[in-house]
Formats: sequence, structure tokens, C-alpha cells
Amino acid sequence: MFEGKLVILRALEKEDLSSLKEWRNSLHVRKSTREYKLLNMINQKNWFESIHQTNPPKDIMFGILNKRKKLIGVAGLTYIDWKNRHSEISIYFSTNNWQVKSEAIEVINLIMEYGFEELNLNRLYVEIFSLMKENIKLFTKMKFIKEGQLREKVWRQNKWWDTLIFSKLAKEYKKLK
Amino acid sequence: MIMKKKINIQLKQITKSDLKLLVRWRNSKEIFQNNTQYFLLNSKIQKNWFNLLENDSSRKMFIISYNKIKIGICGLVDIDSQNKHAKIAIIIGKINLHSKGLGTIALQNLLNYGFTKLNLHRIEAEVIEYNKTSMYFFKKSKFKTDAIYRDIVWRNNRWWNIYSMSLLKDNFNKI
Repeated sequence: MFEGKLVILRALEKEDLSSLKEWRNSLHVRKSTREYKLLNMINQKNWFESIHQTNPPKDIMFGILNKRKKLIGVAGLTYIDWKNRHSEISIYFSTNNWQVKSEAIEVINLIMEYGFEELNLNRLYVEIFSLMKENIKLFTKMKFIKEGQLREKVWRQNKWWDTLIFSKLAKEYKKLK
Repeated sequence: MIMKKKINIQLKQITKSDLKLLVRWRNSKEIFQNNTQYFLLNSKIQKNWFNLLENDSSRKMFIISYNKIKIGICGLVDIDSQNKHAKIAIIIGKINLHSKGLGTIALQNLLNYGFTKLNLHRIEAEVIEYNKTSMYFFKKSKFKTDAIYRDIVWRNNRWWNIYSMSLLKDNFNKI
């Protein structure tokens, strides 16, 4: 368990999957993730099984609890590349507009601490759809560097959108600490 | 009258008998150093790769044939039919046939296949920064650099950037 001032990260459990399903199917999460289908429990269970198949794991997922121990979101490291030591950060909350809350910043800081200091990763990145202005703002505020913009990579809401790649390197993280 | 011999490049289905050739190409120094794959292939790995290929709609791979000689392999991987994009893989295994424009013709055939037959919207190529030849190769076919992933690959005792290049359907001129 990783504890911050506002939130706690604990291992994601199978019992969390039905909450996750609801959240992932809600518009505020769906418009920001690569998944375009609505998810059912079979999808969720298969995904949960699949992230426990490899050792070392490719994905390490946490449930985000508030101080009253209520599950309020999900975060983790995905596509972990142990050879080249990089990984994508995944994060979403149950509620809309989470990007402006202090909890979000704390979760990303906890994930970075774990990724850089514990797993010895070298680069953490996010891929953000250009329609997700809130996410762009959040990761810019957290001093992630924009590496570029992949042109017209996703089809959403009846048009093409670019995706933006933001990253932070271990040396940049350590300098800011 | 001097007749210019037509360069006959074709993309052909990969067969089991090609696998030995693929292992040799992909383990060769020139090819290996420019790929992100970091282990040497054996025939078991290559066979598994081939068996998975058959039922995998996210990958379409071809042998490149030049005047009936097999000179390389190319294909589209990570095909995303929802967002209509894919990544390119291409190797000219016969090193002595590099820089003769054969790869470019093969690439044009492959792009034509991707944009016309698969109706893709965007095709992407990732190139390690020291692989200037490939960067020029894709630029020549109107690929543009979209992003530079910093320190994303560890090779030869240091970090390197990878260039993410792409070509959109609208910018592709059929030959």
C-alpha cells in the first residue's frame, strides 16, 4: 500500500472490476481511452487475467482509495518495457473533471515515485487524445515534456484527432525532487 | 535502342520455407542493430511467429521479391481497424541490393495495399535516431516526423531517441 496525504494506492482486486466497468463505460472515461467498445464483465475478467500472466508483469494496476477507504479511481503502469525501462501511466477516476483535483496530482506523484524509485524505470509517458484538454493541462502542469503529436491517429466523435505524447525522464524527475 | 529493364518488385505470401531466410536476415548485423528487437532469433521463435501470423488480423506480412529473387520482408503490424492505422515493418535482407530504389518500390506497393485495400487512414514508421538511411527512406515517400520519443531505447550502452513518422492517406500518391 502506498499512502499519500489524500489517497492510498492498493493492489487492484477482482472485486473492483464491476466498478471499473461502470467507470470505463461512462462517457468521461470512454472519450479518453483507446477502447471504443462498451465493456462487459467478460471483457473485464479477461483483462484482469491477462495482466497477471507475465512475470515480470507488463502492467501494474492500483485501486485509488480516499481516506475513508472508498474506491474512487484506478491508476497504474502499463506496457512496461523492462529492457528499455519505460512504461505508460494510466489513470482515471469515477467522477468527471478529476483532472483539476489535488488527488490526481498526488496519484501521479505516487506512481512516478514507484516507477522511477522502485522499478528503476527511465521514462514514463502518456498518450493523450487532442480532445482531452483537461489531461493536456494536467500533465503540462506536472512538467511532462511534449514529445510530439501523432497526426490524425484516432477517430472519435465523427472526426480525426491527433494524439499527444508527453513524457518524463528519470533524470528530470530526480532534478525536481 | 537501349531498353531500360523494368524493375519487377512483387509482394508475395510468406511460406514456411522462407523462415530460414528470415532468421538469417534478422540476425545479420546490419538489420539487427537497426531494430528494437534485442535477442537473436532461432528457428523456433521464427516458427512460432509464423504460426501466430496466420490467424492474426492485426498483422499482414509479405516477402519482397525482385525479379523472382527473395530480397526482403515487409508488412503492416498493429493494424487498428477502428482508427484505421497501422505500423510499417520493412527489411531488405540482401544487403548488396540496398540503395537501388528497390525498397522504395516495395514500400509504395505496401502503402498502396494499406491505403487502398485495407482502407487505412494513417501509416506509421518508427526509426531509431542513428538509422539515417531509414529516415531518409521514409521522408522520400512523404512521411513526416510527428514525434521524437526521448531516450526510449537502450542500445550499445546508451539511450537513443526514436522518430515516429507517419503518412496520411491524403498525402499518398499512387504510382
